[in-house]
Amino acid sequence: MRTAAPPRWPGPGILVIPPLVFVVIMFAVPLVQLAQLSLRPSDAFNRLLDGFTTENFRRVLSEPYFADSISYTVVNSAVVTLACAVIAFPLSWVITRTSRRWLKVLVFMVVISPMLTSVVVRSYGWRIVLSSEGPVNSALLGLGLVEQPLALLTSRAGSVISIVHVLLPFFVLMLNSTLKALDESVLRAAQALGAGPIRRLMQVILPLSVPGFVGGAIVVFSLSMGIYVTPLLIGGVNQPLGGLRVYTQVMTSFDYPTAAALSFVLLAISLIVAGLLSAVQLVGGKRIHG
Amino acid sequence: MADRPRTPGAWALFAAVALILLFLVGPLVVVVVSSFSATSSLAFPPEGYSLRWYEQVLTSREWRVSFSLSFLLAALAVPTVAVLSLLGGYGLVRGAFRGHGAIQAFLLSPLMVPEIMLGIGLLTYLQSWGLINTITGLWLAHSLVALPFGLRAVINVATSLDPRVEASAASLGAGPVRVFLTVTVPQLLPGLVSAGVFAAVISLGEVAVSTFIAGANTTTVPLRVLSAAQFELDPTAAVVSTLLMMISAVVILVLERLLRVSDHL
Repeated sequence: MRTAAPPRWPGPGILVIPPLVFVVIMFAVPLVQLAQLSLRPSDAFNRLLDGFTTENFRRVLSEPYFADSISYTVVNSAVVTLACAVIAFPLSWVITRTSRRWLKVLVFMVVISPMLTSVVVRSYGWRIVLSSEGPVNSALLGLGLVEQPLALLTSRAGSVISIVHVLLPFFVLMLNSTLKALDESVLRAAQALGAGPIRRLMQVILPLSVPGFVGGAIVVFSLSMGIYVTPLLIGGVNQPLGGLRVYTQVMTSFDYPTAAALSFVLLAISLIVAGLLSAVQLVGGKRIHG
Repeated sequence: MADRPRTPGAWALFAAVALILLFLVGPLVVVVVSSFSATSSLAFPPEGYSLRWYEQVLTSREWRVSFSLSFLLAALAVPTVAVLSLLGGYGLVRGAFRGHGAIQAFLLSPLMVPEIMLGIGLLTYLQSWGLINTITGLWLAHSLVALPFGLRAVINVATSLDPRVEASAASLGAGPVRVFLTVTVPQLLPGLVSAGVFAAVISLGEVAVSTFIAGANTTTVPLRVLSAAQFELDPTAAVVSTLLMMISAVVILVLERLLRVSDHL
């Protein structure tokens, strides 16, 4: 006789095991080994020695070649994150609130198109746009605004603009999920109570969008702390950006322990900033709901 | 607001959005136009138009080898990421186990680590396995980079599933594996396909990690574009970039028609 015993099935939870094993083997273990490497001494020829040292971290935090690049990178990432926040909001608003399907699809496609295009392709585009014979300089020369082509490729602005272009889609996607959930009736209530469009934006929409802004800022700031491919193509390898310094240490100096230490400092800063931003969100959330 | 473009605020919004779209698309359009240049200079706008750089790329053995390698890697990464995302995404949404939030955060965390760190981390790690300059190494690395995107896509779809559908299939006598394969997976298809698309697109474009773990025998298309863009100042890189963009555009347009991905991301 068959009894109606529940099937032998430990539940969908076990399905998580294969991806979990994969991420442990391919991500957690390499990072742990990288952490060990950052604490290993090496000789004058960058050969690894046995033992334990904090010398690599001391070098990274005190030698101007590294230390200055860290502060430069933090400022750069902050500017990139702010620019992304300002640019992402109108895009997200149109994608999530418009009732015109074609407009939603058009904006969405254009916004994620950089994500679907290799970072090399996008950076290469900016390389042409900003070059001395590129469209920007042609226009400036044609209008008689400048006598000589500007060195846009090696300017800090050129580097920031191209990084914003690369990271903007991440901000928009994070903001979308918050704006999608924004209750239309709250806006109608604000309007009925006499709030004009600017007041609705400043006092209702933006405060309610804080989680999306915080999420977007955390992702964009973290990604821009270690970015190196885009600045490598736009401003060259000598800009004082953390990602490029790590790249140079590995590819040119073969100094892995210092590269590992610097990359952990960059990671630590992005984690601290992520923590601070989440704290801002908690405090802000209490002010709105409490 | 966006639906009544007669108010000044809405016009300002439309103008801002139009400008931003131009900023996003402009550099990509410039690449496409440059690829048809008749001369070897990258001056923009080009002095004349031709297909000579396309001919040069399509008849070059080096580029053909790189394209086959990149397509092979995408073909390996797509099923890997799709299956891992399906299992992980569904397991996370339906599974009841301790440390649920921590496991989800952990599985998504490769996205939050600076790309340079993944690159040098995998460089030293794969070196110890002898997987530098191998297809296996690149396959594993591309799958890791794409997995958080695929997981997010599956999680988004799985969250909106109605558990009663699976429950009724089970109560009609279908075993758990059969329920999963014939009821759950078909419902998760949009997420699964998005995961596959992310894997294909990321694998075809990955450079940040690949730079460190590829070698002379494993130069993928984007790595070759990177070195061409850095060291050769003719439009071949623009041609290959245009071809890569066309592949992405076709994929995303087909998916938008089939699955309306813009609603799922």
